[in-house]
Amino acid sequence: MRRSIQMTLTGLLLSALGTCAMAWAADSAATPAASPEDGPIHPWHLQGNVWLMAGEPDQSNVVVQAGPDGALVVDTGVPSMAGDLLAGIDRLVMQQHLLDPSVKPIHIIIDTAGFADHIGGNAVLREGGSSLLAGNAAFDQGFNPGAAVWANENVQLHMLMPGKDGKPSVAQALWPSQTRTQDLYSISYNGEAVQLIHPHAANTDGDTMVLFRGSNVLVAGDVLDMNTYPIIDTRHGGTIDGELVALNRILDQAVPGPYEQGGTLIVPGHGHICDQGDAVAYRNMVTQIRDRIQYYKNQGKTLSQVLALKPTFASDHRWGATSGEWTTTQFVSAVYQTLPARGAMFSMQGQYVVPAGAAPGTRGREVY
Amino acid sequence: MAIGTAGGSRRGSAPRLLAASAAGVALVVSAALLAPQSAHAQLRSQVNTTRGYGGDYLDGFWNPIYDEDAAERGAGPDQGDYAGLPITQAALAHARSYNPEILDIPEYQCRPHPAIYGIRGAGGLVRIWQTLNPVTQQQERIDLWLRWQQQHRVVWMDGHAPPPSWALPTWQGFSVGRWVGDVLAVHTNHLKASYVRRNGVDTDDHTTFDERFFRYGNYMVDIVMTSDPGVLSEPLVKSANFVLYPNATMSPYPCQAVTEIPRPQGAVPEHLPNQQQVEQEWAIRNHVPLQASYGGEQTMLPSYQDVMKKLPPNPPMSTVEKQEQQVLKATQQ
Repeated sequence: MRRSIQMTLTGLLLSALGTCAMAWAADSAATPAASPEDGPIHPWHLQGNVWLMAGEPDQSNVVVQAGPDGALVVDTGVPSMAGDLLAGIDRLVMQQHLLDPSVKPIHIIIDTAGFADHIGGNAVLREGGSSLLAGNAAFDQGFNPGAAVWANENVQLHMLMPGKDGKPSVAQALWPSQTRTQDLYSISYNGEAVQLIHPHAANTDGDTMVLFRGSNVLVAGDVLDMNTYPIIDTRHGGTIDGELVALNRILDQAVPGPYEQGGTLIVPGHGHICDQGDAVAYRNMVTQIRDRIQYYKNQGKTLSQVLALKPTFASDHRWGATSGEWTTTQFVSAVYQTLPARGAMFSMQGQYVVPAGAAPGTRGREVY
Repeated sequence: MAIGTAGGSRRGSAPRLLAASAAGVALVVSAALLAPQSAHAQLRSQVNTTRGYGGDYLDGFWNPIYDEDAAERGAGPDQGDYAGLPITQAALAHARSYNPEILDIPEYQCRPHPAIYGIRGAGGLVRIWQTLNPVTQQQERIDLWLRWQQQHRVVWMDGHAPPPSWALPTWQGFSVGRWVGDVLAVHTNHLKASYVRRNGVDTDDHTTFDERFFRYGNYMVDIVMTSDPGVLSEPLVKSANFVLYPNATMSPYPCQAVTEIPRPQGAVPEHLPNQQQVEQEWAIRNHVPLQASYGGEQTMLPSYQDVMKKLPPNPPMSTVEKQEQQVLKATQQ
């Protein structure tokens, strides 16, 4: 499975119009070519104190909240980019807030999940940062434990699980230094409320979403993924209904701007920045696939039969994959596996339909 | 109008609906595309421009002319009417699961039309104005403001840098334009996932489109060519006509989402595989073969009339209604 904790136009020719099409193509307004996607890391200001450290094609998004207190980093990307990422964050904070160049500004790192491409820079960024809690005494004694790395407790528990060699499946340097068990954990940093939201069992049972209330930015991690169907890591507690609870939680937290655009900016685990409009389209797609598979499962169909019916056919052109680390087959299998044998679905009118014999409370917020 | 669909009633007979004017439309579009080469020197003398090409050629209030594409205006299209749209099988599968009740969810109530649709949607009045650089007097941008849900587009005329791939996509997208003679050519990308027809023919966020704005005296034509490889097997070409509306005023369009229908949190109205009988009603009622109502690029062509004659007859409406009652009864148990 992709990024598991085991470290692992068409042309614009208008054929019906013959020569007209060629005239059109020749006259087409040129698509702009210049792009800032030409270097290793680009800070991209989102809102308020929050920046996206963009520039890792197809890799996970890294977010930085920067201010006079220093830097809070959400996710650390892949190991190969960690050095550039650290330098980029240091440069950003120094430039924006004129901090003493001798200060290591990164104080807090939050892992949204244990996926390899979200924690790969933990060691480099932790060592490149400094402890907020150690205080002057620690500095006076020349001791600096580095930045604190926070994650849900289940992330660490999965990292500690022994691999085939009997050793922990993830190197200790990448472990969190502090773990959380709360559904909601809140702090104040750089003058704004920062809330860590644990949606129980979405991609895994250790996910964390981070809401910067003052800046109005929500970092969703892989709960929202603009490159693929959501990863449901069943070996580490992920479920489709938990994923939908998390997606609906995102919609609850997001406040759209006028005419359903802007407002709360939502940073997905991968791909472009979203707002509520993008997130609701994703939620709708995942919900419809979930209900279709539940509908087939309620009829007693096996996984093979469901796969043959192609329940994701309508959206595979945008979200599906036949190869790589997270294929459509893996997604459908994970959804099937984590749904009850008989479960509720939404009706045509958008109300619950609970078939006879269904397990109680099998949808949405009712799960928790 | 769309290539392959008649520009009149959406409830006409099947041959008329699908292909009666396809060849004619193709000729009109061809003429429109090529017209600047032959007709505009003459037409320009009738147009009150002060700076010629690239000037205030399109400035003003424009009222849409509702004598084409009735399906896109007002209340919108019928479910199951995809004829004449070059949609893929995947797009059809998605459309058949569409339930218009989804428009009641709070997140959709204040959603504007996307730029690929707004110009021919239920948008009402359009205002167009230009902005010049105060120093060079060169055109920097052309703005379009459509009344419904305040759709505000900006067409950059000055080589404005495009947004990076990670930037937030928008309903109106990122547009760059240039003048080709006195025709405004516009290319747009960076759009949110949206729709090309309001009955479930949805696009994704990879959609792009090209436009040509023509002015003929007091009339303006916008030809829109939409491309989305996952949804459209060929570009969808549509036109929208407007008449100049001097001294118009445009009222604001405030919007606030409310609870229209109480539903469980996260509810997504949809049609599951056994609930799609309603998709057949339009075809049966209008005597269009079901196969034709499913659309596809072949239904754009006049030759499809011959194919339609060989398609099997539709089931009677009573059969479909009986199936619908059975499904409804089952969902209420």
